Amino acid sequence: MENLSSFLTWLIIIIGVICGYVYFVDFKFINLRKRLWILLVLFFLIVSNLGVLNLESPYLIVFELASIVSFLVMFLVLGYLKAFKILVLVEGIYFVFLLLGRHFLETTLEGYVCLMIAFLIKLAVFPVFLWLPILVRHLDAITSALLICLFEIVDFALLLKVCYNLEKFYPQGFLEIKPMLIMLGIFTLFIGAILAFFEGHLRKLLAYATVDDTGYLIISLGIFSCSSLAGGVILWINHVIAKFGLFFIVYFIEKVYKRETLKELGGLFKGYPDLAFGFLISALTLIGVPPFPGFWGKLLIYQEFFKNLGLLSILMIVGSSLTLIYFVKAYHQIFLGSSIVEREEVKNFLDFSRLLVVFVGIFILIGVFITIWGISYYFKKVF
Amino acid sequence: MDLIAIVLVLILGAFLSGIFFKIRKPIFHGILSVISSFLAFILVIKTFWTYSTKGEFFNKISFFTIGNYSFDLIFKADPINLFFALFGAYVSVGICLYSVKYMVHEKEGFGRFYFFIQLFIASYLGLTLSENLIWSYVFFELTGLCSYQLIAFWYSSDISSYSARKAFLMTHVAGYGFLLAVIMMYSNPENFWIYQDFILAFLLIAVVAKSVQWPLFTWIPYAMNAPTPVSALLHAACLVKCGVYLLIKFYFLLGGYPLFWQNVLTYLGIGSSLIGVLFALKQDDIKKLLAYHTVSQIGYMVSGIGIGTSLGIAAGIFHALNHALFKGLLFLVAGILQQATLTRSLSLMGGLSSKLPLTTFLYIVGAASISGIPGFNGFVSKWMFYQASLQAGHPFVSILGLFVSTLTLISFLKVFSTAFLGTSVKPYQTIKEKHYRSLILGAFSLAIPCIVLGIYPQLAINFLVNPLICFLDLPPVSLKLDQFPITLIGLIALTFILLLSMGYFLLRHKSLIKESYLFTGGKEEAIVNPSSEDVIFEIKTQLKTFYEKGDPDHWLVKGYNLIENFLKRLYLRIVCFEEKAFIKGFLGGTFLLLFIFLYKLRGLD
Repeated sequence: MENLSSFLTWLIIIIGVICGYVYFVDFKFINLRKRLWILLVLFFLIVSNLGVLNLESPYLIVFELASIVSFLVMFLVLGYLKAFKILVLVEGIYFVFLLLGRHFLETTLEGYVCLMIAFLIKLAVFPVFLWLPILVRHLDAITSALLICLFEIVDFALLLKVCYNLEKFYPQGFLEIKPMLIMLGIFTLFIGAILAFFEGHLRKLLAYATVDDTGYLIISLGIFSCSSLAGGVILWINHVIAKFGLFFIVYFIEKVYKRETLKELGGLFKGYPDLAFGFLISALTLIGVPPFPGFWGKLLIYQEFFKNLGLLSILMIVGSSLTLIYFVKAYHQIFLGSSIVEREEVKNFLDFSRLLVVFVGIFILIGVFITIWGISYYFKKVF
Repeated sequence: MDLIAIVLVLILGAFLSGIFFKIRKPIFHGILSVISSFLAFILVIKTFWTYSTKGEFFNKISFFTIGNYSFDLIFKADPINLFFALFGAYVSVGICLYSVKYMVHEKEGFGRFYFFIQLFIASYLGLTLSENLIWSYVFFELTGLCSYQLIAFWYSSDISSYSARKAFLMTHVAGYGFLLAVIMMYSNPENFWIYQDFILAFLLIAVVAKSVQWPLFTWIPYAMNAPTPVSALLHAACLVKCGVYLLIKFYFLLGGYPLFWQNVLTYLGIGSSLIGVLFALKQDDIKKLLAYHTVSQIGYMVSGIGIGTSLGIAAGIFHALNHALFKGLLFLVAGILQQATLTRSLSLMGGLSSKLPLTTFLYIVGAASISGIPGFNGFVSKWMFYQASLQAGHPFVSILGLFVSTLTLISFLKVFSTAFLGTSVKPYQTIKEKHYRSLILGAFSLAIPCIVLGIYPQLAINFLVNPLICFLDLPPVSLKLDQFPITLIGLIALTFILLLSMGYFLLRHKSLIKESYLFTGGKEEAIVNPSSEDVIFEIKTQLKTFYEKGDPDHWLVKGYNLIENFLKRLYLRIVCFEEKAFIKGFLGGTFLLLFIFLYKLRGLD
């Protein structure tokens, strides 16, 4: 975890810097003063999240509150009022559970359960997942990417810590919780995959895909073995990077074509093969197609799932098949086939966006080797 | 490190093509692919030589082991692996050679095309040489991924996009069966027989989809919407053999198949064979026709492995080798016809033998081989199959096999009579064969072994098939000349065909056949060649119900739509909920979570 947190710190900083650059350079529809405000808020957001991720202090709640407030202020400055209302509700309930867990019930079993529920809410797990697609619907793709990536990184890391503590201090209680986590994971995975399968709105599709992926992460926590956790961590990092790239592609498409739904798009490969490359690689790793990093993560989880629950592992395979279908469907609808949209003028920033997407694609490809080396290193250390 | 070098050299070639994708010269990428595939072939031969002198050996890259699961990449030289690697590597060289000229007509995408072609060959060889089943799965899926990208080569065409999607979804989803089988095998390596039936059932799903057997063969006709070298390499020679390879590999790992599964394979194979050929008969598109024949021919292999005797398995694997050669050849011929006539429709072709004599010769070799005509390689493996099924007590399978072979012959006679015979159609009178020299050269590299193995099959039986059979702990098969004078039969048949061809060309050129002049009132008489429709009209009419109801695609799509409609109802309910009662739902969900957790933890400290 110690090794991981320095990596996650860098990941958050990079995400923050990239989003900050885009807000400043490309969000010309708001004036310069507001853009500077956004940068300031973003700075606080990143710092507070880094604090939440890395600090062990009784004042952690202050950083958590700062993170919530930063997001809300950012929404207000950007003018996303509907999203603001939804986030107030979600963060409000989250904060209540956090307060209960951290300060009122402290290190009791109930306290850990409250913390777990708080993080599960933020990770958009079944049955509290609907806020995420609705929220994303009312945001731009960059803010969506920032929100999803930060929530996924920070809250999953915190959930992981809670699980470690539960295993350490309340093994009997955790034994009872584990099957529930697996069940929640399976439901989350299926609901996310089914909804993404039918979703035509690009950002909502990615939000449902996030719910789908979160299902695997929760299952890995539910199994809670060395292999499943290694698989979960691979999927987690892979998910954050690939989803960030996918949101950038969506941002590019929305910016250039002013279209938000799949059925309005087609044949973009001809104009933007780099975007198609980035989308395909990101989608393949999220599906878990070998040899991409996502596959190794899923493989470790499948193996452990089979060891614990036998033939029920078919459920996970069915879930993966649904993931495959909706991502391939989206890829073909957006990039392949005859073109139904005209290519428009590309502005300077958009070259950066395309470059970033290609970079994400290459990073995932290199990630194949990093993942195999990483697992190798991890298991040599563990055993 | 020869075994690793076989795969690495192709991966290197693929990356060079990928890195230099901006070079828009097909020759550059084409020659790169020829060099890398040729080097890989040489390395396979070298490995084969080392194996025959020193016996089995490994090359290993260590990664890690978790419990029973080893993730080390191990390549092994054994008779099963080398058999499949050898013919795959050989056919790949021929097809890469062919593609150099073929791709000249394309405007773009050379880097992409050759990147995936080379990566595909590397993956196929990786699969066949890999000893660790986890890596076998990785390579198995990589072949599918490359196939997906190559079918989508003409990305702006809707039909190509649809075809690629269909092929990838069907093979990848079914491929999870292989993954489950691997997980089950490795979860408890000493007692995996507990799951033996599940392992075989899941494996069969993967094999059926990849090796285009009933009912999951429906992606392959669509996959023909790809450049011809792709069809030849992937959908004739290598990709579809992955399933056959897995059947042999698991036969070895499980120490044979239980009787029930033997029967399933035998009848599934021969049934697919019959269904495939019946669909092939009604095709007008030459590549689709060949695709359905792939279904049919692989049926022999699956059925042969299912029979389970040494002769049955030998027939199956020898037919796999033969099929790679003659089907690859037929696809290359189809590619030449397509480039010359700019169509794939048999009805629009006619009289091409006069314009493309060498191509006609190549076609005859391929068609005779696939139809099981004595003197050609297909005859030997089919004969072995009939004999094996009779000996194993499956006379019905033998009869069906012979029947399918007859239908195959009819199907190829249809192609011959409609595309090659008859009077040359006007637009094709300017066709010159010299433009396709390098294509023909590539095709010849596949035609020669078809004849050689037809006359002297002992070459393959003794050096390739029997070592594999012995490796499976089965007695070797014998094709001794005194028992079965196959060489004599072959030579007689070849002489007969040669004389017949000579007679045809001599008579044709010397105009010995006098045609009576028909007065047409000054109007030019329309050339009417028999079309493929004319030839098979009767069959189509008689089997109308079968073609309508027996197409598994019809049922698969229906089943898919049924599930989709069910899930859509669920989706619509949730979406409705999302809009109308989000706050209630969110609060309700939170309390539900809290309640479940507290309920589970009641009574615990």
